[in-house]
Amino acid sequence: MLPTLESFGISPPVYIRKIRSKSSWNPDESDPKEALIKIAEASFDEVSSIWLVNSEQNFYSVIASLSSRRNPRDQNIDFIWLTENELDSVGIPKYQTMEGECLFSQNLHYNIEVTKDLAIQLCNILKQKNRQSLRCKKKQHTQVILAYQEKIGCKAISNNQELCECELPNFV
Amino acid sequence: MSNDLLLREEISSPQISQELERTTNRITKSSSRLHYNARTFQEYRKVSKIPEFLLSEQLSIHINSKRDFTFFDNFRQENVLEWYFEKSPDERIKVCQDVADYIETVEEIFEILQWGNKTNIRDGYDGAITLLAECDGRLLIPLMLLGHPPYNQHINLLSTEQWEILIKSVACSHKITIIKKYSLILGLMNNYQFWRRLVKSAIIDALWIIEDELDDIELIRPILERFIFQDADLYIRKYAREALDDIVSIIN
Repeated sequence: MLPTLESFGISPPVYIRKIRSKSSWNPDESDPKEALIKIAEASFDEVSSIWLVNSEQNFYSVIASLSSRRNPRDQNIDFIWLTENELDSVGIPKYQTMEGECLFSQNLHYNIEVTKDLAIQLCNILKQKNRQSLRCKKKQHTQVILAYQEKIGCKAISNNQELCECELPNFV
Repeated sequence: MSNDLLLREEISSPQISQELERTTNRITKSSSRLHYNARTFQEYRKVSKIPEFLLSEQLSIHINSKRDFTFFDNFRQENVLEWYFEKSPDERIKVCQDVADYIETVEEIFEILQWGNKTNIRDGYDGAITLLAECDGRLLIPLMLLGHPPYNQHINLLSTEQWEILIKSVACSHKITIIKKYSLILGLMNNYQFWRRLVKSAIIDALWIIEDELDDIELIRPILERFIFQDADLYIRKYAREALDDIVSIIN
């Protein structure tokens, strides 16, 4: 069964940021300051990709694009969500740039420029809100989403000549 | 034949000892996270005895020239890794196999592990895993063996973040047979007390990645249950439980 945003505890609109791993968001450093620095370093690069998610289909498309960069494709994908207000609160601007093999996801992609200090500030805010890292689990989520995306003809799964449903009018 | 012997046999060919010596020397000099005091590789050898399989003539990887294309030759002197990591994540996946063919030394594997931790590289972590998974498995195996007994004094040659990348790369590797992958991951459990949370979760992730290739849950279940029932860290116990639940789940 395809996962819902609600099942992840996500209320759109949000931005998804793929992180290195769930454990990188939950380090075992005993010093909270050290832990925060580790989290920031592992979660944000100087230029970081984020993806706007307004709907389940947005989410599936983003997962398809992220998976297309990996081999094997059907792995866990660990991520956090954040809001526009949270980015604004630390003064992180975002720039829309088309990226991702899934055509539908390309318009959802943004780059953000995050200095080390800004990354620490942002992670501090998210941690204070007890923001948890989330996981698109291999079997229960990723494989199901990729199977669905393949069915609709997603270019991130198979780059054939046929139209993806997302290229048809009225695709949600 | 034990798993360890099986793996050592795999890496017994001439040449890599010099590469590793240079690499270890460089790391010894540059890394402040190392737990030993020796400043040079030679000093380090005296005080802690580098595992013989990394030093002796027997270990080495001799990869004959296998280039039938010249595109990357122009980059060879420049730095093919820099070229690779400066590409966008979508472009990297398309060239990683060709780049991997140019990786011939353990030193370069170390370098990739370092690239994977740079914050000035966009999604370098995934880029490193994708690339290492395409590299010759004989270059990854010696490094993984550093995490096996009796070489546990060398565990800190790699940071926990680098171990995480290496372990996942081995799991994703297309150049290592599944039984060797399993042996390499399983061997890390013999140094259980030395691993921190990040590495333990990487071991669990690695088992999660190879489970369908192994196609026998009973090879994985006892390892995950070791985490679930015996680890002191509640986070790891839950993490392993989540993995086992997902692996045995039946998808509708």
